[in-house]
Amino acid sequence: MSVFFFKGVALFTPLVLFVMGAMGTFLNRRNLIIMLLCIELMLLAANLVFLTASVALDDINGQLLALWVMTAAAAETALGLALCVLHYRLRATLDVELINLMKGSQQNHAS
Amino acid sequence: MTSLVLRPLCFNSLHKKGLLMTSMFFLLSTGAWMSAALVLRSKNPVHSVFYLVLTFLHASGLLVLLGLEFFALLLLLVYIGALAIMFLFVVMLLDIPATELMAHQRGAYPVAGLLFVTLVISLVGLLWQPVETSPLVTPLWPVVQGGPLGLEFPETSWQTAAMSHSALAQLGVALYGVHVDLLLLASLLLLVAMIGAVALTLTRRVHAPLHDVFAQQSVDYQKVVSLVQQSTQAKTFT
Amino acid sequence: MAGGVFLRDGYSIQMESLLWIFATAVLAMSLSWQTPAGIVSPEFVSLTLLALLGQHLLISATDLMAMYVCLELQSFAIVVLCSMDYRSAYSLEAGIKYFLLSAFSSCLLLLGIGLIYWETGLTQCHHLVELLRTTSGEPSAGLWLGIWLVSMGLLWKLSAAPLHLWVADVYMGAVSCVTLFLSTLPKIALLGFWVHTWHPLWQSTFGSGLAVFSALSLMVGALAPMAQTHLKRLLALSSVGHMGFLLMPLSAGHEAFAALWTYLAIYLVTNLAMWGLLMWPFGRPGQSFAGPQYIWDFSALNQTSPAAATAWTGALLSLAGLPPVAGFLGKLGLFWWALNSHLYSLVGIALVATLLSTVYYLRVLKVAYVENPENWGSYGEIPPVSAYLVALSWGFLVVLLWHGAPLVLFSHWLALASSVFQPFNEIRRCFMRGPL
Repeated sequence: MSVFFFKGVALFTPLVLFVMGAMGTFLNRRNLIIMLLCIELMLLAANLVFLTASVALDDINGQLLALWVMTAAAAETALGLALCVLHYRLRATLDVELINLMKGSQQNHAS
Repeated sequence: MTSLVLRPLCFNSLHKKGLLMTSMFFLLSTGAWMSAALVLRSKNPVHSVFYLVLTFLHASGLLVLLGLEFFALLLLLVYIGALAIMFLFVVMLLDIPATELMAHQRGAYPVAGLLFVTLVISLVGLLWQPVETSPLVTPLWPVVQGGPLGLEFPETSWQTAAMSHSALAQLGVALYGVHVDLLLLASLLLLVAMIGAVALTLTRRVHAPLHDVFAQQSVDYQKVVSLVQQSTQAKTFT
Repeated sequence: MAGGVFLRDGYSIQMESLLWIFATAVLAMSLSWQTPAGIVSPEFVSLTLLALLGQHLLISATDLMAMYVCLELQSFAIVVLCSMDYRSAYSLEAGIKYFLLSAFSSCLLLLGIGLIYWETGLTQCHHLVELLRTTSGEPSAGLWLGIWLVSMGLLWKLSAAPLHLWVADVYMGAVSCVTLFLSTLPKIALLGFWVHTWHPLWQSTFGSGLAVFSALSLMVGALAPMAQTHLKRLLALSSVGHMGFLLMPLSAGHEAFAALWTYLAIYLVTNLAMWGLLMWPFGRPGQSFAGPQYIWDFSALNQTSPAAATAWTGALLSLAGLPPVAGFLGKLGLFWWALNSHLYSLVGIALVATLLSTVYYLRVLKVAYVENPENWGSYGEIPPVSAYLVALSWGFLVVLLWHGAPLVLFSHWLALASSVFQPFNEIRRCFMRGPL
């Protein structure tokens, strides 16, 4: 097997993870927690891209980027969960379909 | 800074593992995909969180294969130790019912299809790249072409090994020395998250009166006190 | 600075001072409005300042790492600010929507950075530009996709047209002072970053592809607000149209950036006046609000408060870009430069969009001046700071069309300062080719 093949495969893993996360965010719209989990999945995939590239290129910047992404992911989780708790407190549900008080953002739903 | 970047990061241990590495790699990445798919498919949010933990475990296994032990540990400690537990707490706290799978997804198929097409295009672009030997790229898994004696193994120069820093030390220099400004900004990011989480979930008294602290502080007490005294005196005398 | 990820040149200094001057006005107006509106939030100022720090550094960022961290700093602060009114489900929903969509877009942005880094090993934008210029032929698929994804993330934050899904709900749900913050300051920062650092990369891969986004935003901005009766929704959707106008010079060429800055400055002043008028306590019989909400709140405004009606006229005419006020100057510059760069179809679309948007701007004025009032309502007492700021910006709007020379010269200076790297790179490229 050639090196060329491996380079593609090493990027293949995080890309598939990323697309799973992205599709989960859009396709599988059940509740906010699941959407947050999908966003975490996407961030993990981005992290894997950075770290693999950092090893492949022998460069330290990718690892630094991965650290910033981890920080941002922690902050994002904290904020997202706070919003979840607040929303549950106000409306006693986390169904994404019901987060639609002001109609109009999704034209699909109107039709 | 340039000398920092140019130094080798000492991933020599990778060279010796050839075939085992590849099979482990395929195993771990398949495991990561499977558990990610289960995150999306499982009906109960608690199960989803557990499958997310499983995904992170597989990802940290991948990082160990890459030779990034520090990041593998970080992933285990930060993600699984902190974030996933936080998710579990919230999910169990809020008592979210297990929702029906794919309950609402009207009109979401075009978006998902677009994403899928993007994936296919990018994968084709990746796997069919015309030139692989870019001078910028060192091969991820070095191919051992020589015999078992391994003429291509890099000779260990003990002097450079003694002078060079480990990958972790270089990361430390880059984090705390070169890019310290970004470190400060990242700490502010965490500060925003902290303020935000506290400010959002704080239960305040709903009918609390509006206090203008400055106005309260700048009241001339002599006027207020004398006025009250006059009225009480008037009451007592009459 | 230490890692060389921020570049402080004349351009970024001027843009940052523009940012802070406008932010001061926004903060003064918001703080004076919060007391009559009954909003108690001690964290407002600190979060705003943190977001401003992110925007300030974003303008001078030259590295993708720094760009990501600054962008996240400002968008997290904005998420918290959006759901500031913790009692209202609308405000919370605005926060959740902004959070989900901005998290999704920053994931795309991150994947883009990852692909760029994977292909080249670079995160410094100037190095990337040099790489693209010195290597011959098309960029590889990964690099192309990476630049596309990062640009999509940036356009998402700018709320350009196919990526404007969040804008109406977030603008409507958030508290007015947050909406004012959200609709103006990130645009300064992101446009500043785009022109300063990102534009050469975009231009060398996609050329004038922004014309498509510009045209789409113009169409959305012309058609979507037609059916709206809620004022904040109307303004939100019309801001998409203004984003289309702001993207026009970016697809035209480097000389056209002067028109961009003129338009942006006038747009900011207009927005300040308009949100000042929206953050003016308003009362219907038996009810009182923190500001007018629907179009029909303005019925008989000409009789109840002629000053407010005049101020609305000025602001709306300036948004529509009609001659007696300064908005015309901005539109004139845009059309002039777009015609100079032979973007005839884009100019055609922009003219039609201007015509259509005039309809709904004038509809508001028709309610205020012409129509018979069906329900009553009148403005209450305006906070003094807002009154001064509205009067000041209204004065600017009136004067700037006739005495706009300082503004035009300043924006020309900005355009020249942002293109200062171009000849330098050309010289370096010749030098690099020479010995070979």
